[in-house]
Amino acid sequence: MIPMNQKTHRAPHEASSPAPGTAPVVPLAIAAALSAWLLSLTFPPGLGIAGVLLLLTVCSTLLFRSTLVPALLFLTQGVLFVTDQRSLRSVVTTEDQVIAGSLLVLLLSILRYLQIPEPPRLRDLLGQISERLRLPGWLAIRRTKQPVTFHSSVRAGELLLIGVRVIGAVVIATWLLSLVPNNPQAPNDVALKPTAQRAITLALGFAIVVIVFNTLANSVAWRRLSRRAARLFQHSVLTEWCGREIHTILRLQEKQKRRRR
Amino acid sequence: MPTSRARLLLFLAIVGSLAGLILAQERLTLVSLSVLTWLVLEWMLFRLRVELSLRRFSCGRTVNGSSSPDGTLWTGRRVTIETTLRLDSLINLPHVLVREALPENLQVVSGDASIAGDIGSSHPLNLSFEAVIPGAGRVQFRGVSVRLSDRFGLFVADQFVPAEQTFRVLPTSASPEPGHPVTKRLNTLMPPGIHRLQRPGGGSELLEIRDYVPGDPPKSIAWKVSARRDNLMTREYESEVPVRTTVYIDGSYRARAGSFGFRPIDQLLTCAGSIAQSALSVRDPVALVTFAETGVRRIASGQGSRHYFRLLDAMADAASADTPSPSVYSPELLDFAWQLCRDRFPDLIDPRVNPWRRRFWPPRPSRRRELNRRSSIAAVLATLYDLPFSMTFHLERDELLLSQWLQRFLIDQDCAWTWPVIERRSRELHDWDGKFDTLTHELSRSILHGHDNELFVLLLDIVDYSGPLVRLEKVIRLARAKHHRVSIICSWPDAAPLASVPPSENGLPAAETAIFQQLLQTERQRIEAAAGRLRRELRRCGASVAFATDPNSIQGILAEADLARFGRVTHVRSGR
Repeated sequence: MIPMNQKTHRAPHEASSPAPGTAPVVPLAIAAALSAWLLSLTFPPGLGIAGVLLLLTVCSTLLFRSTLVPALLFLTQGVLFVTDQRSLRSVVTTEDQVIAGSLLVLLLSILRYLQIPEPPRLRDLLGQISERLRLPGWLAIRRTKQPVTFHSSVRAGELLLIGVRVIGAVVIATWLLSLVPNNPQAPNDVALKPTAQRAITLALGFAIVVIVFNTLANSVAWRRLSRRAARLFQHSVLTEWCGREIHTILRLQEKQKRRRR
Repeated sequence: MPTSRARLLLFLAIVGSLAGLILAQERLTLVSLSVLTWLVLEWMLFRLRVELSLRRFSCGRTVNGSSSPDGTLWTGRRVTIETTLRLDSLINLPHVLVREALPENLQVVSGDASIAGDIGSSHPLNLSFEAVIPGAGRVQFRGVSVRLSDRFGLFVADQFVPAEQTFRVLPTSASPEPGHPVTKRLNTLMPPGIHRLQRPGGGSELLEIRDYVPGDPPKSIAWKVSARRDNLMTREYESEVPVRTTVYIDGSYRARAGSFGFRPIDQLLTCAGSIAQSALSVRDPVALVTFAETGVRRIASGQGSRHYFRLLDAMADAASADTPSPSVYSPELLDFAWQLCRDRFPDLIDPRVNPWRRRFWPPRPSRRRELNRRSSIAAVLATLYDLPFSMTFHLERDELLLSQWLQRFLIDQDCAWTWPVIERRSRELHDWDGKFDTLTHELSRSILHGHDNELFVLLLDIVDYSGPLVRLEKVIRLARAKHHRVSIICSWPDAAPLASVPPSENGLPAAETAIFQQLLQTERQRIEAAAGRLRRELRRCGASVAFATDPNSIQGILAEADLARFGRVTHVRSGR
């Protein structure tokens, strides 16, 4: 606990409050609307997709429905798939980057409002089952029904970092696209189809980044392993080594016991 | 760990990128690749934050203002709990969901046991709530579950931050109305704790005058009466004795089954505490015997507040000790244990530490998942209980053994004895013979060692018993023959938790609700018939019978105590 002589930023009896910061509801709503408008500008007016997009944005912003976010992405991809007929060999323009950036801003500004996915409560599922089974009162399991409060706040510096990550993602994607071999002679050089070559190159690039980072993060995690978890890991490694043999021995023992009976 | 939201976005981004690359559509590729890159960047940042700060949490808690690792609480009284989660790291974490790992024997009445917000070294997260403890026994606060998430709810990581505190929960006594003068006001009154017994003894009050018998002390001869009647007469005085109250508490397996606050033993302990308090308030010595199928614990009679707390401690032990009969393995039992592991031991079921085996058999995925969970939980149990290496394999293969260890694990984690921790049809598994053997043996022993007139209070859970009560009746008759008083309070098996749910909220259709209500009505009638039979049979042999739900049951016991002390009921005790 906090020692008595140590001053905290709030009194012990004071209710918990979120970290100092502001809930940027208005800026994010403006960002969502602006990005939706920018995206809708790229679509052909005759399809009426711009209206659908705006409607989805408003719905997902106001209703906080997480399922609408993938729907938005899917809709945008579908529209781009249908309308955009330019070749991959062309240079990535600023307009393309603005569209990609707008979509990212739209997605994250909607996602920003969503609550943390909460793990299922321990007794709730069993409570439901016991109610269905009509267990007697002394044996029934009561459900917890505890609400979870949610504080929404963000600092100005963090908003800037989010923006940097969005721009960074678009820039990296542009750079990755520029790395994709577009040389028509490439199929002759590596004996691959150009489409497969591009996909494999990008997939390998992503895989290498993810694996290297994951290995580094794991090495940090292993150093912080608790004694109990380390013992369990050792246990599971041993089980993996000789588990099959021990299972076979146990099965034989059980057979012998059955025969004796 | 990516959430379903992140998985869906990742899938769409990969599919979009591949489609764009294969079909050579530049804008689709760029948009999808941007989303993919953004997801990877968010994952890297989240992973970095988590790994650098996951072991840097610390948790502190005060219960009623005390941060001591142990203490005492009372049932039914409000407890104020304040928990603080601190992060000793330079990195601030956004969106941390903190949940107090509440023991089942705790009900939140105001405030929230969970909170979500940002956390950093300079701004901890504080939880404050009030709770009530429904059942006596023990309450263990183990720590808080922490769920870390990124700003967009795409990735989550779980951790359990331990902060252990253990409290003994004593039963709250209902205060009976005062009936006895505690201070001695007149010389005719006995000092507190001493009562006149209307049997010959060495007291100061005259009991009777009878004919002289050789051997009577000469100073007891009533000379005036002897002269008047021309025959030697002797004065006999009343006996002045303390009246010992012995409380028997049924701590059997059946009495401890059920949700906390609805267990039969909760009703019995409230009565026992009240009786002990009442008897000790008039300085009568009180003894306690808690018995179960397996054994007996006796607390010798004594007086004073220290002895009262010793009795309450023994009652709390009776409510929390021992293990039930082994449960049968069921997938629900495994699921329950798995959820508990996920909540309280997330580090032990992390697939990096406790990996699932690759299985191709059986073909059904749900069965494969169950087998994998069994293997994981077997390894967790072996680690937590320091079991030998080979035990893991036995646990995986032997369902009975696994269910025993799962049951022990769940009870150690303070789970109530409800389904699936115990059998649904546990009433049939109850060892009535063992219970009656122990009870009658103990009662006979007390009668053998008893002096003068004593009060035996039996707190039993026997309403559901439909067999003959011959053994119990015999021992009660023996006690009555020795001039002792016997009083019985039975717990009342009530279907209150389900019956209290309004028909509109129990999720049943109207027709089924009507059937359900009829079944409840039938069950109530059955219980009332059983209670009536019990009352008739036990009253016939001289014991008074009351039920714990009856508000006058304590008064009835006190009336019995009055009868034992004075031979009559005092004017205050009118509740019998």
